[in-house]
Amino acid sequence: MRCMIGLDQLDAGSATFNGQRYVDFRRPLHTVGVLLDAGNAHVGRSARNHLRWLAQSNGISKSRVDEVLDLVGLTDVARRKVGKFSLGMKQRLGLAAVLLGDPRAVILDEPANGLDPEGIRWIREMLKKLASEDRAVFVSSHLLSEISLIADNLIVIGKGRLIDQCSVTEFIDRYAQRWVYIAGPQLRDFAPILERAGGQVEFHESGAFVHKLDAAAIGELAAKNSIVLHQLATQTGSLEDAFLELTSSSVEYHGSLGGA
Amino acid sequence: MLGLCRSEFLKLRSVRSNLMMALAAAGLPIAGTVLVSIFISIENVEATTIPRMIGSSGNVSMLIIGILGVLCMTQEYSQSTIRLTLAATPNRYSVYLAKLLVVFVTMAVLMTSVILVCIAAGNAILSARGYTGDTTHPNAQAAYLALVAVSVMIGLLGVGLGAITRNPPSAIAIILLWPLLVEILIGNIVASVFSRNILDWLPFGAAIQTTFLEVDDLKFGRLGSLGYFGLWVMAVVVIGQIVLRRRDA
Repeated sequence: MRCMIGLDQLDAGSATFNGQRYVDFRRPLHTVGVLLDAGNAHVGRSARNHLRWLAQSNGISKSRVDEVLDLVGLTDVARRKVGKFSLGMKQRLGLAAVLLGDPRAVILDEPANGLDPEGIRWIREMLKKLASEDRAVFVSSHLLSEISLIADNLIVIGKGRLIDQCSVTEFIDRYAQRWVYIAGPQLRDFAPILERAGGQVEFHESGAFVHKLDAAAIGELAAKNSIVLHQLATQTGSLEDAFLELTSSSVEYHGSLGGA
Repeated sequence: MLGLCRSEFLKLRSVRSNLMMALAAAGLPIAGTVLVSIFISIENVEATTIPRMIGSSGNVSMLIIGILGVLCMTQEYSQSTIRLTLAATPNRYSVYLAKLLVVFVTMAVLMTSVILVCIAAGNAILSARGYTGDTTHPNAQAAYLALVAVSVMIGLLGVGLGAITRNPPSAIAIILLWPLLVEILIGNIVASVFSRNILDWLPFGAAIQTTFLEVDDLKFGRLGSLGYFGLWVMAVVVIGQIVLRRRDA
């Protein structure tokens, strides 16, 4: 992300916004809003002054500063020093800075990092709102459960290289495991039938997980063999499962739970 | 550029520590002049009394202004706002130029105002105490102008050092130890070993001497010495610009 906006030097390649390099924009806040770290604010400066210097550098009016402060709910603490802000308030201030120029593209790095549940929900709703206003919202996050709730498209990077790029649904379809959960009174009798048909059965307390057969095939086998089933449901791994499956060979640092 | 300068000025004035530094830089000569004017024996007052007081306390103010210049740049790194600054204005040259312009104008206005207040206050107090003699010196105006010029240049030097080091303690240490320790050591060593006085060749040594009333001994004269110091400042400022342009933010 730092390379995209010219903060770090590029070794190769380029990033453009509306066909233009970020570093070529004279007033980039009108096109791209960036939040790399909510802590990037002087602790001794008030929230309002923090936004005002940003606004002045891009020819944005004072009234817009008040507007975005209101938008993120910080009007009451606008004169308070940033050093006295909680992490959630700093994230809100960071988002206010992003929205100053009413940009069409928004870049956010770990926006939900360290937030309490209320803050996470607020960020989630705000990002959805921004996307619904026809803005491109580009979010980097390791909180995959959050991403699965808000993202349309994924870019998966491992060891600095692009691993895959697709929609969330496609990604899960491609990489997450699927299995069928079944429950009923005759599972012990049904298991050999499923295994003969190529399935793998794994008994669970109240039912069984069937791998390598889909729900339709299992349902037809049950009907053909007069097996009573109380539950028959396809289950899919989460985005996190799919991500771990895909990036298992691209993880830089491995931890271990054993030997502690 | 005007918007960028206003933005940089807002950054400078919206932090209390910067205001305190500016207040110290302004308050020292004013307080010194007022106190001397109040307590000096009227028989001892000369035409050089006020100019000398302004000059000597102004030399301390110059270093404080240098620190202010350092903070103008290094606060961006210590508070991590440099990323936001360069994200808002990707042209690093413009950002650097705006900072230099703001420091230039702010410090020039600050020191000029301080000198004018000192002259007015000193004269008012001395005349209220019954002093009727001359309080000006033929070289006073040139010394005052040199004081403003050196102050501004030290402020710019601070910005340059800040851009190079990116670290407030390092840059402040350099701007304080350079004139107060390094140049004195070098001057003394050379004087002891080679029996030569190289004070006029030492940048701060030359610059500070331009603020004196009498500069007859100055090798390059007042203007020449200011220019010599200016070359050093320019070199540091240019290196600062190269570092800012090349290094990742």
